[in-house]
Amino acid sequence: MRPLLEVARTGLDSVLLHPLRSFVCCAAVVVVLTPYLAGLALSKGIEAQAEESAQLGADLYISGSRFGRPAPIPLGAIADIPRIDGVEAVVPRIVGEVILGKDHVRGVLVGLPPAHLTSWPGSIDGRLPRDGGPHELVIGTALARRLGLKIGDALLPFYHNNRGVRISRVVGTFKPDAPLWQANLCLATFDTAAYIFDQPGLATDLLVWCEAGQSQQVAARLLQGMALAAPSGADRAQPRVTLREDLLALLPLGPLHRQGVFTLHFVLAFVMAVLVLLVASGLGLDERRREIGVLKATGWQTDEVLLRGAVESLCLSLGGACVSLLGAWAWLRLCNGCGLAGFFLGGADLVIENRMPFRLTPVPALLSFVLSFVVVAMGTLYSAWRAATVSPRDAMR
Amino acid sequence: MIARARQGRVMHRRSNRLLLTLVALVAACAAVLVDEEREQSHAGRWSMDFQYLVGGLGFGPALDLGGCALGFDPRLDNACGQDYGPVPGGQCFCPRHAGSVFFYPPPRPHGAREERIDAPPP
Repeated sequence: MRPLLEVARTGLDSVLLHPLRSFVCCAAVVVVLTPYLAGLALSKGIEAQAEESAQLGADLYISGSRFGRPAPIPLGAIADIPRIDGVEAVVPRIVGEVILGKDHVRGVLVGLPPAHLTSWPGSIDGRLPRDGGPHELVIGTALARRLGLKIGDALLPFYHNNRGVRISRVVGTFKPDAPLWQANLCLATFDTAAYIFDQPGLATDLLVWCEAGQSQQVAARLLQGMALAAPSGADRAQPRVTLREDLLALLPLGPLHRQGVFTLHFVLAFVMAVLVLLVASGLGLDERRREIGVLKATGWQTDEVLLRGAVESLCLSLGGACVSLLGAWAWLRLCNGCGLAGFFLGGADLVIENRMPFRLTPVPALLSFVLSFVVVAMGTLYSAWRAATVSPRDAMR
Repeated sequence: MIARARQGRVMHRRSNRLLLTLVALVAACAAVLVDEEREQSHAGRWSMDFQYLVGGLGFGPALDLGGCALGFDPRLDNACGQDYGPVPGGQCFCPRHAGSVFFYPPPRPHGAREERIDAPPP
């Protein structure tokens, strides 16, 4: 055992014998692995937030459709839904786009009944919006920064309504740790949102909570018997129902599939890294071949040369993988994924105001070490084996 | 002979230092992973509160509705507003879809009265 340990120890010495070569090997691993790890962590973080959005939302969403395009739902349509077996609660919601400020910043205005809002104030700094008095808004971090708004500030009228326009007041901001989609959000009460859009008596969607395991049956009953029409019977829209399961089914089709495409691109980068290491570690380095020739001439066996190479590869790959992991963490935590976030969030600024979600878990870390070991070992062991299997005289030539 | 022995000792000292550096790097990585795990559970609370508050909102690569509500949340629209499909490469006009590696198709539609084959007789 001791001779083996001594041979293994020479692997460590070998790393130090050629500092430039060791640096190039580590750099090749770090350059390929750091963006891969950071991208994978970012992808996992966004995917987890998307999954939470589906899991923690309503059981099903009813919206209207006319000519295949989204259409609003009259509030009168809500009355019959709670009477359907299996329905626990129905909440109307308004989601629409507003343009704010002189720079025409796009915002997403969400209106919900005050009774629904009061239960969940945890993700907000300040307080929740209320009805009565001026319009009250809770705004996202990106909007607050771009418009220079803070709690207590007034927002000049940004909409048209024949009944008159009102000043809005910022009563809260979303916490930066809340999910990404809060960035451009304006949260208001349902009546405030209906007033801002000048669409009284209409909602963009209905959130329906059902008893456990009843959502499919409720959806079927809704589609069979529901008429999304105003009390006068005009403006009839077709109901469109989206179940939580439908959203969860999108994850493997979209994010997971794209994550695979992202990984595939890095496979090509890994192939390039192997070639770099082959050139740097033996095939292109005469000195290293001569060194193996000398070892063979002094009585070393091929397996001892390979063990030495394996320990050397292990050290280089471990060092490279650790530096990559720390680099990916620093990139995501300290630089907020700057330069990388844009690949995952199309149309987003390169530096996003709120904290980018990422999941740096032990599995990708272990995977990165295995990958870097495979890459370095392929570059090192192959060339070491080639040099060790020829006669020492040829290797030293 | 003495010089060679001294050179060997120096080499051993340097390799010991390398080993210690590697151990320190592994320990730093472990600390980062443990810290991240703790951070995730903390941030998860705000995320949960937010989703309960707005009734589930946000799913895709877009952070506003600008032209493609599907890219923001598939519950809001069933098609990309900037998908000019019949034009070759028309889907790429939407910056949310063309610029992100994170997009998805629209959710499966639940057609109204999809179990009926034909209209009832008059």
